[in-house]
Amino acid sequence: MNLRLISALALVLAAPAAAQQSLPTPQPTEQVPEEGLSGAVSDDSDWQDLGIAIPAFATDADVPTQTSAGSTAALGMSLARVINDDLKNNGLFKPVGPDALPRPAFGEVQAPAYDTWAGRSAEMLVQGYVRAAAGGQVTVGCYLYDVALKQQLAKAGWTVAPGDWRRAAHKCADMVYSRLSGESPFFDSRIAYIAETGPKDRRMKRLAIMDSDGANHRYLTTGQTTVLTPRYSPDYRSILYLSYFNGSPRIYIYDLESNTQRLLLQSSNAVFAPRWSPDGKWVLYSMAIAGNTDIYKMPAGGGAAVRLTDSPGIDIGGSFSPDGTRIVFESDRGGSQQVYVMNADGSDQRRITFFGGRSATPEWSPRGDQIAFTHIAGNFRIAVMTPEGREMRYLTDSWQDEAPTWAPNGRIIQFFRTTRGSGKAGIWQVDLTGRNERKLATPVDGSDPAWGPLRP
Amino acid sequence: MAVSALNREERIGLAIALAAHVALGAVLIARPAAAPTIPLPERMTVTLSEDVGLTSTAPSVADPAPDEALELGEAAPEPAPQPTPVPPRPEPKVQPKPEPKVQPKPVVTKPRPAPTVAAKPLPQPTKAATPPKAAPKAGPAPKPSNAPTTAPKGATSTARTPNAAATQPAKAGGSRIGSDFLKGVSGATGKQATTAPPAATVGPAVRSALAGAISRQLKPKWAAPQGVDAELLVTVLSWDLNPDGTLAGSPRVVRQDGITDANRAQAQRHAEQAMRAVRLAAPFNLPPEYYPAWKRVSDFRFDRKLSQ
Repeated sequence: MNLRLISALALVLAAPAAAQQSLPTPQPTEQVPEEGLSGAVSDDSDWQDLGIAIPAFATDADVPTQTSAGSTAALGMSLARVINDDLKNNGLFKPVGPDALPRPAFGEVQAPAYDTWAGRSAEMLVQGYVRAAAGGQVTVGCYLYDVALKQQLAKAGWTVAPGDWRRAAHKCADMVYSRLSGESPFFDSRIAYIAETGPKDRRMKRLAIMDSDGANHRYLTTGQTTVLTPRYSPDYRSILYLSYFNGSPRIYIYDLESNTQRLLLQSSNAVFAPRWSPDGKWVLYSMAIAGNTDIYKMPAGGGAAVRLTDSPGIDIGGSFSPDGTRIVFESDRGGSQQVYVMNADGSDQRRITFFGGRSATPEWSPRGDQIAFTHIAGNFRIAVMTPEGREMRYLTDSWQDEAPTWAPNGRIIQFFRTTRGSGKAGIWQVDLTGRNERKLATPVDGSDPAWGPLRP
Repeated sequence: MAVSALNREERIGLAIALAAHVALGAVLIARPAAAPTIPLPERMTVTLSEDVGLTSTAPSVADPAPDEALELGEAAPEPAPQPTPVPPRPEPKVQPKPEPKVQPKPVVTKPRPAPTVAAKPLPQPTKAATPPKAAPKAGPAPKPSNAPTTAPKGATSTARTPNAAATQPAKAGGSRIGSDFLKGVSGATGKQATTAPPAATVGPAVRSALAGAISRQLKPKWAAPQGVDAELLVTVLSWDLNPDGTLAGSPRVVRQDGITDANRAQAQRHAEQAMRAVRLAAPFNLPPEYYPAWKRVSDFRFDRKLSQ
């Protein structure tokens, strides 16, 4: 006590002495008065979604097109609607679509009437035009303006085939999104998932694909066989998936250009979770032999497989880091499901999740800075962590969310959510801050989403 | 009961222990008491003046202080025939000039400005504190008591020196009190008022007020980008302003802090938004008489504070 008191007093005494000594010093260092003003301003308001006006795209001549949207004028309206939906559904922005706005004249596209738009309390303005191009193609131009500063921020144009007109809209939305958020684009991408129909005990699971906004939905398999865990190849040409045919698992590669499928691996042993390497040359999968499940790697063209793990437990679900040097996977070698990392050749395996509960289905972000996984402690929740296994953050809080997959820009995660009781599964997405959670509209129940890279 | 039985013995022991503790506490408190009292006032002055008040805060504020100081200082000396001996109690009273601390007035030669500080606290608690700074600056001229308060302004010190020089020699000979007291006070204040330039120099209060005004005008325009870890980002800008409050040239990024792998993508956008805020707030509404102070904003920080 006394000692402490004394030392405390000593401190008290020392402080003034120090202050005294330091006093004189500041004075001699008189700065030149020309130094300039300094200060600070903080943004402490709630996140404000940016107001963006998106009027219908203008056209120089209203001519018919071969697009599903109709004439160029109608197409201009549809383009703006698609852009509006893209931006509206992904947070950050508060867009106002073409249905509530006047349509600018063709000449205004590159010289917007700023005052008009400022009066509508729009901070940003997206304008564009549509023109019929040779060969039935359409040319779409897209411009982003800062209404308050009265300046153009970005512009781009594309000539697309009539069937790809929505891609032009997605590209425009991508331009706006990446310009205003600093992030990489992702709207112009596709999603593969498993469409589920039928009763619980005889569930039909078909492979389906769709655009990132749910449009252009298509079933790839008939449902005669159960299909699981699809993955887009990095070049978008094919989809890797697992199929059970007469009870024996097979790994197929579906070629999207020729609409054919190729058998990659057939085994009498249980096989799980095929995944691409980032360069598309290798396929990871897990195989159970006599109760011991390990991770293997084989060339995408077929060939001899290499075993990467050899622990007595279940090692499953490998996911490559974007540079292809490391693999994150799930293992129960320590007694419960946890996430481990290893080098691409299987060396240096070590556990990275120590969060209590169990951790499953790890997926490395395409940016490499995060790993998404399912954390199981009571409920199943989607969480992210650094590749070192630190700073875990929950992104969702529901009964059963699992199987995260990353958007191409590594800022949004899709997963599937099973509703308690009904067992209905749907595809949801959430951004990396845990906000902007929403359900994707799919024709039937969906599970096992796999987000492909940005389209070339 | 048992307690009481035990207590008797223990009571005594306890009483002794308590008494000892109290005594110890008293000793400890008593000792420091003398020293600590000194530092407190010093601290205050330090923080206030040190920051930005390079030249002059407000001439008017400084005026009253000198007066009191003079009176006090002089009142004490009465008995002594010699000019300065008295005011500085700690020191010898014999010779006006030799005295280091108290007697700067008589001549330009001030032996040591700094050392005096320690001794002074006793005589004049509040004013003593200030001398350290004032003394070095004012240099030889200022009187001990006056110096502290007046020091900040260049004008004051110069104004006084003549007085001091004139008065002191005379005092040494005879009645110092009367002449110095009257003259010193009135003369000093009068001169200060006249000589000090109206608002040519800008003090810390004005500077912080200007920064606050700019901050208020920026705030509605400043929106940090969203994203993971985006709240860690800090952008520091500088920009120049014309006398009418408009931007001269464009804002420049001085530096950015808080960039992580996760928010790197937003860093550029963060800076862009900050510059946008400056542009949008641009015709700044600021008092024209202080234009020299706000014509250059050299270091303005843009960040985001999570609300709670």
